[in-house]
Amino acid sequence: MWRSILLKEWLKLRWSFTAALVVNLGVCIKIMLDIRQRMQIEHAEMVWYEAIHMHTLFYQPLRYLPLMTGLVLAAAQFAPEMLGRRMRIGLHLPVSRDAMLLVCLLVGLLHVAVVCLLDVAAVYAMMRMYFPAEAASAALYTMAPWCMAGVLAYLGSVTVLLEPAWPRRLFYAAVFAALVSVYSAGRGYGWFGAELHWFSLLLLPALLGTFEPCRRFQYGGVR
Amino acid sequence: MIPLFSRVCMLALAIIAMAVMLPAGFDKVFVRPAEEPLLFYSPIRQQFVYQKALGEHRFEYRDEEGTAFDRQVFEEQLPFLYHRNLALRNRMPVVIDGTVFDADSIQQQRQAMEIRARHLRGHFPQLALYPLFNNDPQVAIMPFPEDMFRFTDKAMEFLNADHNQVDTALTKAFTRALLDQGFIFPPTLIAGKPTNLKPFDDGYFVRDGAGRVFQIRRVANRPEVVKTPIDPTLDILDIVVSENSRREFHGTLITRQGNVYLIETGSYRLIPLEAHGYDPQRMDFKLLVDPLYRTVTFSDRNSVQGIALDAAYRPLRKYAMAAGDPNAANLLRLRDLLFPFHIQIESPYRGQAALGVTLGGFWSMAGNLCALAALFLLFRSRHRWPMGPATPLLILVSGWYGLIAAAFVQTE
Repeated sequence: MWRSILLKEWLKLRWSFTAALVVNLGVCIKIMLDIRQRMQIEHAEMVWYEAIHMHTLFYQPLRYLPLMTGLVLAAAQFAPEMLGRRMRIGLHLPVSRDAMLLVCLLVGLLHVAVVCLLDVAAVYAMMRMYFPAEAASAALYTMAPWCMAGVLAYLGSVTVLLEPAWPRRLFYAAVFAALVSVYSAGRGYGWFGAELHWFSLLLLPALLGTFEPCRRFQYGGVR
Repeated sequence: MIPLFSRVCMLALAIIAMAVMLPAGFDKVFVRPAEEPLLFYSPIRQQFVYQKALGEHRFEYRDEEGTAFDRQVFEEQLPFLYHRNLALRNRMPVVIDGTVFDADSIQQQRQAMEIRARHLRGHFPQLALYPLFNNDPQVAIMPFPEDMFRFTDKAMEFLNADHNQVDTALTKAFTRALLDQGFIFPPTLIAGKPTNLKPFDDGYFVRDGAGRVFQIRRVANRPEVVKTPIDPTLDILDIVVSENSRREFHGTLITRQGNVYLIETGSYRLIPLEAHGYDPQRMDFKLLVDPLYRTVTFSDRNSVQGIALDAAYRPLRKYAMAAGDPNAANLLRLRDLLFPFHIQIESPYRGQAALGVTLGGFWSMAGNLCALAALFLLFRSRHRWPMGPATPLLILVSGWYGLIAAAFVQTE
């Protein structure tokens, strides 16, 4: 049963996930070529100065990419289930509703995480190639909230898609849009600094928050 | 159980999102940020004068006694500040106490320094990699070095930017020079100006593991290290290097307790500045030097304080004034009525995220009671309360946020 559910999730996600991987990889390659070109036409120390003291983020194009990835993967995974309320069939399977939703969410989150890890690893490698280790490490904690925004965008989209009532859908959409915008805020590297762990605490309630819309979906939004 | 947890989580997320966004949106639309009054010591009146914004590009100009004047008279009270404008109006040179000051002599003896709380060490993210400029008397301009330095537990390490590798020769030379002066690695503070847009380079002031402050310069590509006599027991928050062509002092030393000192050029003697009440965590600091006086001002959102000093840095006169809020009192009451608290993710005194919660005052409590009344009006039967019996308590604590969130995340 669980293998079939996992297969179903993979079949829904595979093309969107591949497209997300390709787009993210493409942007990473472009960033690397931009840095390489910058190093060739300018003095390397001036590029370092820009990155370290002017707080220029050469990987800035990646800021909203995890967010977009989260939205796309959530839509790929749950939008087909909502068309004609097909998910009701899955909810009649002899497995717990909450366990099944949790497995589906973990599959989706795993895909979001793979794309985020690819971005982070690629940026770390290219920063390490051209900049001191400190600048490469700074890229990791600079990108952490962007990845969290991707996770939050995924969970928010799932919540909005599962919720059967339009007023609540709009309310949840506004709540998650507000939260995601906070994670995408900031200037320069390491802007979230020591406060980052407080922001990571919101991811767990966002995950748990999806179960209530799923329950309401099962009962047609009347309970 | 899981649906209950899920509802509580959604409720919490909704309240947090509203507490971040709604007050910020209200402020953006309706609230005018307070502008800090500009406070100066007038050598003509021998008292403080100020410029205060009234909004819509209107300003008022007054002295300590409240005497109002127009812009031209205000500029005439501050000839060391507005000497160019005065020259255009044929009001220069100016004579004060029998001494004649022309534009050139004023320009040579003027210096201004501003230290914002958000630019102090630890108040913004900064990687500890710095360019050390080469002081070469044979070169007219100050070229940017091809390397940056960092401190490790054992060395002052130079990294060449072209190859992204350690420059062993420079690293050895500077580390040896520091060890010869008794420097203890690793340092606890590195302060300098990492830019070549300055008249000369004063290198970096570095506090070692034992609290002693060293000045490190690069002269003809060789290390020049001076162990300064600065008291190693000082609890230094930051040193702001000046590099001004007057060369009176190397920079400003600020302690965590809010004491401020100038580091005298050459002798490294600390000149204490009268700045009682200055809090480097949440205040901006300014020092204005003119041919006759030095003026220290420090300010936060609520007030500005000024201290006039003579040329030997002895206090002459103090003045404090409230910054004033340009917004109507009823608007601020309405804000409190609607928003019981505001979650802020940044602060004007930090160059990075700074989480904070600002609670409303009396009017917020009234707002929460209004929200509670709205609950009873909207949901007359307690069996229809959105979050069951806990609903009134939730709304008493979180006001309109709680009511809106509960109305959406309710059980039916």
